[in-house]
Amino acid sequence: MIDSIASTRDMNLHLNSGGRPLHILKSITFAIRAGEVVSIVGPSGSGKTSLLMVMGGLERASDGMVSVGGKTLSGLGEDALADIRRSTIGILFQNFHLIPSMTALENVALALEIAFDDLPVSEIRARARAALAEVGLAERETHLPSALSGGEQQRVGLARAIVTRPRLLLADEPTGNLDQQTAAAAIELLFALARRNDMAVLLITHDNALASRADRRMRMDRGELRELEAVAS
Amino acid sequence: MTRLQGWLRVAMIDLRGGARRFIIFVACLALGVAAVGTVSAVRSSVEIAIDRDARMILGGDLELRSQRSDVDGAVMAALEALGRVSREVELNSQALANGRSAFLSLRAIDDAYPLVGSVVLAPGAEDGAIDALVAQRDDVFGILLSQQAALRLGAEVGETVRVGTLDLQLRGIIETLPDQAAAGFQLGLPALVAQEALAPAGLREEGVLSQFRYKVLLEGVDFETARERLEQQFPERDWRIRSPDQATATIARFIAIFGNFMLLVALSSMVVGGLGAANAVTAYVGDRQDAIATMRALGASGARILVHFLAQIVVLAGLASVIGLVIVAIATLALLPLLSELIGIELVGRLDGYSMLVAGAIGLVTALIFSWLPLLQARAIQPAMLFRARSSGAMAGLGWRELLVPSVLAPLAAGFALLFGLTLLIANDAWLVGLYFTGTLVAFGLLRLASALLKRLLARAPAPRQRLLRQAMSAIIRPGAPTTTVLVSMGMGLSLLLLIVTSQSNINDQIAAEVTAEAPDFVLLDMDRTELAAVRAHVAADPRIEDLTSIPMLRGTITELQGVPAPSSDEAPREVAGMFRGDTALSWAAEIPAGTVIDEGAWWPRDYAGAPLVSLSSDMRDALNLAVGDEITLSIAGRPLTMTIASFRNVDWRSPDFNFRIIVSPGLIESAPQSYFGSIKAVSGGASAVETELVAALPALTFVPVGDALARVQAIMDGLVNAIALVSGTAVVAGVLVLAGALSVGRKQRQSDAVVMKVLGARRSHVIAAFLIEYALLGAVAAILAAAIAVAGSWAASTFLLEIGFAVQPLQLAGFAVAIIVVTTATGAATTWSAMSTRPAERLREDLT
Repeated sequence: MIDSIASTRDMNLHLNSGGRPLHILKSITFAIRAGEVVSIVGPSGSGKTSLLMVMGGLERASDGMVSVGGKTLSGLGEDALADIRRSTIGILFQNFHLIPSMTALENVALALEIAFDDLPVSEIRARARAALAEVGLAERETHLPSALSGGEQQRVGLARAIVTRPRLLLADEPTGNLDQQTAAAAIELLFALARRNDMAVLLITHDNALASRADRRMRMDRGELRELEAVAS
Repeated sequence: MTRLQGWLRVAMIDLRGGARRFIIFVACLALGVAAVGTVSAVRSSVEIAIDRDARMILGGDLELRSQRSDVDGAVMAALEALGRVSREVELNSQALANGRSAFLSLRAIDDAYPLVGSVVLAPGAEDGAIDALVAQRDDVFGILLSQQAALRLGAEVGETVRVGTLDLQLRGIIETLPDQAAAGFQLGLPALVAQEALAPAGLREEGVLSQFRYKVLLEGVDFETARERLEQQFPERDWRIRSPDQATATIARFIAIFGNFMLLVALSSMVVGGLGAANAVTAYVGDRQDAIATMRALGASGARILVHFLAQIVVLAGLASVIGLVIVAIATLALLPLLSELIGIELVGRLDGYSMLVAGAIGLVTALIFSWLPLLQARAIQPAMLFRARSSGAMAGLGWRELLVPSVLAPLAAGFALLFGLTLLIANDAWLVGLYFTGTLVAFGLLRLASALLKRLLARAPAPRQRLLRQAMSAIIRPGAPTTTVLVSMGMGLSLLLLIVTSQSNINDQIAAEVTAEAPDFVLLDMDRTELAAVRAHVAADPRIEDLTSIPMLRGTITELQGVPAPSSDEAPREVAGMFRGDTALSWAAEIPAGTVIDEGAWWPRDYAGAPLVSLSSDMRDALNLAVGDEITLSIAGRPLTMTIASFRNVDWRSPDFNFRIIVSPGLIESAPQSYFGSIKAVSGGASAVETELVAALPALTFVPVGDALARVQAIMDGLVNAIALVSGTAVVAGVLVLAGALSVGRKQRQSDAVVMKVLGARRSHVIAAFLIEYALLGAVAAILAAAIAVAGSWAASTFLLEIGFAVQPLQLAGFAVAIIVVTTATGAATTWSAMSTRPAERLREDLT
């Protein structure tokens, strides 16, 4: 695990739901290397998203070790976790979560604004434009999310996720709200960008065909994670 | 670019899309700033004018005022040694013209009047100086009447006005008198005549209501030296000497007290506005949960989220303050001329930068205080929610444990301290402002507590059988429901409104109680035995007069109490000090006067003829530590009369019946020089004719038309109540805005509910009915809570602040409760109409995209 960008060891997650204790993630030991694409499949409620949230510092593991970008997450405060997300992690959501009052360009620039305190505005705009160009939306930078199709919104989301050049991209069902053709194109783009930027991707999906295109496939079942088989890249 | 600049830039970009959601926020705060700023600016202008014009308001540098009797030649000479002197006699008299009568406060002036300032006459007056206008010309004296008096008499310049037994010529209508404000409330309508006209008119200068005023323009001597000189030269004189500052003290005190009260009403509008602002920010943050969580997921710290929204609040609150201050400027410039006319002081139309600055700052601080908790809620939003269910718009409130930490409380406490300090800058009464702040905070705490109790109670209550009621109840208590927000903000707003309304009706009741049907139509003053006999004869011949009562009045000096020399007016307790300043009024009676309640001791027998007894008012007993059986000595017409205290009476000075603090038993005293007071009650509708006949038949008789005097008091009170209503009106508008804002907090949640209910097969009418019942329930609870708080607040205000009687008005409260329920339901329906009418397909499609 020397060159892993993120890893967990004997990590457990317990939550309370309606006063009932739930063991969501069970003794997870797992690592993802720089530039590696790992997909996780599994039924709803198996704990896939919970794992993603723990890796993103959005949920705290109950015990065990979680490390991202060489830093152990346990014991870190909210702001320190936010620092790690800013410097190391990009997140792609199923529902895109673009800010409706901001244009495509502003949505992408927001990630840079948050990540870098001292970047000049001109540089922020230039980088955001470049990211939009990378996802093929250079012409749509002044459009509000409401004026974009689902596929376009997801591409803006992708541009926002990669614009800070994160070393780890967490993607939660990124094609879940897209039709098959658009989904395929989006995934193609995601993989290409990951390789070009030497970015590790942890991809949560229901789509087996999509999952099979990852470097490594894993399956989550009732909180337990196991490796399926290595896929030649 | 610094880190903060970057944060602020993004905040402003983000605000661009959300600004329209802040209309209620801006409106609420602007209204509050406008109310506070206008009241403060107007009050400050009045105070500045009083300060500036104090010399003019007094009419000189020094005023010596003697009641009932004139000063002697030695005093006059002493005054003339101090500087230029103007002498004025003020007395009351009836005037007659065109078959109509008017009761005048007649100011008989000399040729030096006015020493300072000038009399402004309406166009159409004869040319010439004031003394020339009232002087005798072709054997006829002139008179100048106030506009009201001229209107009442229907008299025009050039016409004849009869005063007493003399015909005078009306030579001008007074617009303003420079020293009118210092005169205070006058029984009659202002008029100016020459002093030389009094004798031919048959009017005695010296009388019960006469005032002799000497105004001096000091030359080479200051006020204090002049006063000391006069007091040393003439010790133990029964007069009052005033400086310009002392003359304006009463009106300045009134302006300060009324101004403070108005400021608190205006501040209520600000508090209600603040609640509206809080709801608007809560609704905004609720709608922006996704965006906040997204920013958090992108790595934004809690501090950044706080700064992001704080910057937006500051910008919008600044905008609201600017709008509010524009309203202040317009309102101040519009109100000052009206007020100037009302109080008789020239008010220059100017903008008071200090008041405006403080009002703007109060608006800003209020916005920050009320936005603080919603902002903390924003900071607490976790990015994890992005991976979970779609947000509903409703946010879980902060719990007590999250609230009771220094980082939350310290800024709030600092904010309140700042607000308190800012309010003190313009209200200048720490006790009053402290009471108001405490009351508001207690009310806030009670409402939160009541809301928590209500939710707990509803959760434990058995589910009603009625389906719609069941749904409405569960909507009120489910997690994330904005019940607390709605109840606290509506409860606060409504209780403040109700407090103003109930206090106002208590004030009105107070006035109404004094204008009872039992009150006489005319009070006859200072009659001698001959005049009383003439009045009796006139009354017997006039069938329109229903009743005549009379009571003797004497004057005496209290010389000893229990054999010990009486205290001077400076030594005597404040409540009775006036009785020891020169002589005091007293009466004698065989029978107990009507409406008198014996507090201690007993009234003498009707045919009592023993040693002199006396009945005193209870306040004399309390102030002077007297008891039944003690002795009191009075000097009446130069003869000492020692009397034993037989009883103490509770005297209700608001009663229309005549009363005296000292009433002596009949006997020796009957032969002392005395005058009579009387009252006449006319048959219904006959007062006007009785008045005219009385003036014609007995021109020298001084009588006060009570109805007129009360009507003038009522007019002044109406002016004050209208001013309060105007300012509290802003609180009403703010209250409705708050209601709309509070109910819109859960709009998104209701939209989701409506969709789910419809998807499950509920009819549109069913969805609407469920919502309406929920609103009505909330309105009913808010009304009950608000009524309870308002009654408590109104009791406190009536008892401690206004010192008037307090009564609960059940009908008024019930009416209000019904109105609140209707308004809540209607506003709720209007605010969430779109939610109720949402077609499931629209929302479901939105969910899928």
